[in-house]
Amino acid sequence: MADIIEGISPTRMELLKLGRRIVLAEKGYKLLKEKRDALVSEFLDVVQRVQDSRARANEKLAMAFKDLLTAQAVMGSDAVWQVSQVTGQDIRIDIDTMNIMGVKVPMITHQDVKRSMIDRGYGFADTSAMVDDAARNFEEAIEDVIKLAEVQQSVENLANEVIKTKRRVNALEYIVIPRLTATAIHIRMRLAEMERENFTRLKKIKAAIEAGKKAETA
Amino acid sequence: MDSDSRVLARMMRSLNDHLPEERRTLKELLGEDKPRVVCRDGSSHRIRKEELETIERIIGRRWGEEAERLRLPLLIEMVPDYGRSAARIRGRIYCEIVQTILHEEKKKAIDEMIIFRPDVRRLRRALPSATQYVFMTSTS
Repeated sequence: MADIIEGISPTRMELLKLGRRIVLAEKGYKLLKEKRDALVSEFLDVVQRVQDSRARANEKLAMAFKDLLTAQAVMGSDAVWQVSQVTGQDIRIDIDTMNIMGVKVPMITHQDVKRSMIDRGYGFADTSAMVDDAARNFEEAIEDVIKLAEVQQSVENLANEVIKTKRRVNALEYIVIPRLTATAIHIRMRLAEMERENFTRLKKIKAAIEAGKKAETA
Repeated sequence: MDSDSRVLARMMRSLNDHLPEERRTLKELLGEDKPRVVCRDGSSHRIRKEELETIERIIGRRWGEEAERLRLPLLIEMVPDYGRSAARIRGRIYCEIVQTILHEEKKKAIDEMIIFRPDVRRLRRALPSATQYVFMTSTS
């Protein structure tokens, strides 16, 4: 049986107060359990998205690096480096927040990073088609990397909140509610004991009075 | 009220701090470049434009005027009365949206519907920023 709360006097008033505290604790426990369940399902969904995004990003980056190596083999590293200096490198992203049950997770939006060959800015005559393929694959990979950054941070924030909520649920389930219940039981037993003591005392007083009356009449 | 109970009461109140102070209409949100609502805890909650467009596509054809009054985010009410992880959706227009997303057969218009965990997950996957959980205490 759980420990009882120290320093509580065994009175009916305290028992009523404890009853109210138990109701409040149980309501809180139910709500927190719902929150924990909801957080866990959000967490599992985001973990799945992390896995998907990571797999896609890895696949696209592998393809892009393969094309880059081929382009370097065909054109030479210096020529590829020169081409890379011609193209614009800025990607505009907008980082905002989304609130999932009190957990702030990032929401990253960006403009389309895929460009046409003309927009990339290098000449077609002195470059290999592999450069185009590498550029296209890198652009596609960037989208997945941005998505991955968003969901990865969400996973971390959600995991922290799941741990916190779980701790609270466990504290209520295994410490607070059992302690309150045990104290209520203790008070109830103490009150019953006091009632029995009182009853015995009254019987003894009655017997003493009756014995006194008998002695007077005799 | 003793300190334990005060802490507990405060914790229960803070469960819904992520809800918006005021929900905004679909029309208002669609008109913005960065649609967002302000939460009770002062933070801002951004809603993805694609999700708003999905909702607009669902209701746009049928609801006309009423669609302009639709307020977002859509609330998923977690009520312990209906069992563990059961959620309630209230409002005819909101039920219509949820039914369409869950591909449920629409026999007649309903004002309230109860959905369970797998459906809640599907709904959240479809509209992660346009929906919010609400934690409600049991009425019993």
